[in-house]
Amino acid sequence: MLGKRRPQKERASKAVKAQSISIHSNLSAALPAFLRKENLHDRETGDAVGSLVTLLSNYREEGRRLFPEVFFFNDIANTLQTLPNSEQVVIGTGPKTSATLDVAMKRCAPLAQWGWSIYVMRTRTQFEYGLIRCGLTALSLTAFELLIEEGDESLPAIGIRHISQHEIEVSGACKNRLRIHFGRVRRSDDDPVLIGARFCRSIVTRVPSEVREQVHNFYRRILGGVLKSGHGCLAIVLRSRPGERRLPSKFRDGVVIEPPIDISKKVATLLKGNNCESDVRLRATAALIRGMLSSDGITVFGSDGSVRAYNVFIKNPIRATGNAPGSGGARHRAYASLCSWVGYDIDSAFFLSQDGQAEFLGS
Amino acid sequence: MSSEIILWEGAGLAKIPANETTPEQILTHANSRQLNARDRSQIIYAFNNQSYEMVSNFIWNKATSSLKAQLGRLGTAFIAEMLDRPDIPPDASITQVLTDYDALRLAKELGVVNPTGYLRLKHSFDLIAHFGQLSAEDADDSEFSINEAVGVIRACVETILGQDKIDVAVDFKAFRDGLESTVFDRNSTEIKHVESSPYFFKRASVRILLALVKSKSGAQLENALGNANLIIPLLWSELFPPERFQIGRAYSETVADGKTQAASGLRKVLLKVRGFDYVPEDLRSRSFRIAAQRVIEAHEGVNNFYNEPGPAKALAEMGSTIPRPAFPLCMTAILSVRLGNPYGICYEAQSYVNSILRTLNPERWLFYLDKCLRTDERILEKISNDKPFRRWVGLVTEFDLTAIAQDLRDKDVKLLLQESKDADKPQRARNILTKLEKKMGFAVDQ
Repeated sequence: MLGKRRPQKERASKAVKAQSISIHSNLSAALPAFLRKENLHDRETGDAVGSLVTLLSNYREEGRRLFPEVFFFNDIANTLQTLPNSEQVVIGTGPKTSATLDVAMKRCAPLAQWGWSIYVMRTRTQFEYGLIRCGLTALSLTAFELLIEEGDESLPAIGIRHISQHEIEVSGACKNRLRIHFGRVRRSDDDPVLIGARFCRSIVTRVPSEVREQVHNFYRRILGGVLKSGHGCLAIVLRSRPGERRLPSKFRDGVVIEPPIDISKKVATLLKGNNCESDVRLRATAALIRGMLSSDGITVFGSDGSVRAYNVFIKNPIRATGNAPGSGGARHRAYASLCSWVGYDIDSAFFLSQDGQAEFLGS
Repeated sequence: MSSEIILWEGAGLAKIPANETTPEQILTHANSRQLNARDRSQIIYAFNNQSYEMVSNFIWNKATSSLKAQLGRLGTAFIAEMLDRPDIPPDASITQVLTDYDALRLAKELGVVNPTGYLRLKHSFDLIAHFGQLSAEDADDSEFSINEAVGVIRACVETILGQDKIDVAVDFKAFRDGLESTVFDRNSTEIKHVESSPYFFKRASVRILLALVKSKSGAQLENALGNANLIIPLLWSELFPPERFQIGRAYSETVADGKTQAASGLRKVLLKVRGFDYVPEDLRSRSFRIAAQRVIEAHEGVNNFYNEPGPAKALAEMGSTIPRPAFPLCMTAILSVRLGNPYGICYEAQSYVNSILRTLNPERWLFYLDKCLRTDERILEKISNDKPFRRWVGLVTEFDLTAIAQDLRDKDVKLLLQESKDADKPQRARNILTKLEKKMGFAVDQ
C-alpha cells in the first residue's frame, strides 16, 4: 500500500508544527452572527471589528493603558440628533479595513476621555471616524446609555468598551452582547458590571425617590471606572439604624468622613440649579470616591447614598469568619468576614479583585 | 366628528342674581373660608368711601391668590408643563412664579373656571392692569368707576371666592388620573375623544403626558410612557411646532437630568414619529426662551409699560439668530410688546422689538405665520381687540406680510392677513379670528 503513505519529509514537518490558537479567530467566528442581529453586518465591518477588539485588549500609548469607548453606526447625523447637547469632531476617513481603524485608534484613543468616545461611521466603501460626546452635566445620560443600553433597532449601533482590564464587551442597540475575555474565562453570571450594579442599588436603598435613579447612575459610572482601573476594591453599605449616626466601632479603623459626603444632596442641588458650580462639585466628588474605592481597605457607604469612611481595616478577618487561613488574598478574606456581617451590621458587601473578578452579597 | 366635543367642563359660577348690584349683596355669596367677615366689612367700607380701585385690587389679589394656591396643589412640575414654562424650578412657589394671566389661562384650560367666568375675570384683569400702570397725571383724569369696581367684585366672587372649593374639572381629573394609572387602548373612548377634539384639548393632553413623564416614577411613569407612546404618534401629524418642540425639549431635559426610563420612553416616541428635528441642539434655545418669558411676564404684569424695556432690551441683545426651538415663544414675546394691549403700548420697548423683527427673513415669517400663529392664543386674543388690531395692520404693512401670505398653507391665517389691510375695517378679520379660535378650541364664548 505504498500509494497511501505520506512522504517522509511532510510527516517530519507535521510533527514539529505547533497548534495555533487565536482569540481573534474565536471572535471572528462569533462576530458575523452578532453584527447580523444588530443590522450592521458586512464582511469588512466584521473583520475590522474583530481586529479592533484585539487591538483594544491591551491598547497603550506612550506606555499608558487606554480604555477608549468605540461606537459603530451607519448614520452620524441621525445618531447625533438623538443625543441632546452632542458634539462631533471628525478626524479622518479611510477604506473599510482594519488598517484604517488602527490609524483611527492612534489618532483618537488619546483624545477619548472626559466624556468623549470614538465613533466609526460605515459608508458603502469607507469608514469615517472621529469623536463624539453628549450631555450637559455629570448626571446626563451618556452616549453609551442612549445609543446602546436604551437603543432601538431603528437606529443600529454597536458599542465596544472595556468592562474590566481583561474584558471587552461588544453590545448593540438590538440588545445583543458579546463579552470577550482576555484573562481567565468566567461564567456569564459573573459579569462584573451587573454585580457592580447590584451593589449600586444597595447604596441607594434609602435615597429619596426623586433622585434615586440619578444617584444610582452616578455610582454605577464610578464603579465602571474602578472596574477598568485594575485595582481591586472592597466596599460595604452600612445597615441603617434609626437615630444612629455614629459609624459602628468595627469600621472606625480607617479614615472616617465627618460629616459624611451626602451625594443625594449634591445630586438634588445640581438638578435644582443645573448650574456649572454644582456640576463641578459633583464631578470632583466622583473623583474623590473613585480614589477612595481604589485605596486599600474598605470603603463604607450609607444606604442613603452617603460616603461614611474609606481605607478602613477590620480586625482578625480570618478568625472572625472561621475560614481556613490562606484561602484567597487578604482582600478576599476580609470580604468573607464582611459577608458574615451582612444582614446584621451591614446591608451588603462588594468585592473586586485586581483581575476584575467581582462578588456581591446583599441582605 | 364634531369639534364641539368637550373633554372637561369648567366649574359653574356661584349664582348671584342679576339684580344684586351692591357689594353688600354680592359679598353675601362669598364663601366664608375664602373671604372672612373682616375682609367683607373692609371691602364694603372702602367701597362706600369711593375707594373703588383699592377695593378692586384687594379683592382681585384675594381671588388670584386663592386661584394660584388651588392650582399649586396640582404640583409645580405639572403647572410648569401645562404652561410650557421650563423656567419654573420644581421647588418654586406657584403663587410667586405664576403671573395672573398665566393663572387665568390655566384655570380655563383645566376647567377650573368655565368660559364665561374666564371672560369676566380676564376683563377684570385688563382693568386692574390698565389702572395699575397709569401715571399719576393720567390716574387723576381717568378714575376707576363704581360700575367697574362692582364688575370686578362680581367676577371674583362668582368664579372664585364664592366657590366652596375651587378645583379642576372632574372629567379632567379622571382623564389625568387615567393617564397615569392605566395604559389606554387604541380603541378606548378616552383616546377617541382626544383624537376628535379641538386642538386645545390635544395640546392639553400632550402637556399632561409630558408633565407625568417628567414628574412620576415607577408604575405611574410606565403607564404615562405607555400612553405617550400611543397618544403622541396618533396626534403628531396634527401637532404644531410649539408642541413638537415641547416634546423634544422634554426628551432633552430628561436626558440631561439622568432620568433613564423617562428619556428612553420619550426617545421611543420620537423615533416612532421621526421627531428628533424638534430636540434642541444646545442650551442657547433655553436662554432665549427664558429671556422671552421675562418679556411676557413684564408685559402681562402690573406696570407693564414701565417694566417692558429692560427684558425687551435683554432679548434684543441676545443676538439676531433666534434658535428654532425658542422661536415661537420669542415671537409671542416680541409681538406682545409690538401690539401692546387695549390701553396702549410701551414706547420705550418698541425700538428693541422692532430691531428683532427687522432681522427676520421671509422664511422665518412664513414659519411663524404658517406653523405658530394659529396656536398662539396670546396674539390671537390681542388681534381681536381694536387698538392692538390697528397695530397689527401696521405690522402687516411694514413687513409686507400679505406678500408672504401668498405662500401660506394655513388658509385661515392667509385670509386673516388679507383682511388686515385696513385698520378701520376690523370686522372681517374679527370674523375670521372668531372662526379660527373656535376651530382650535380657544374661544371663550362657546
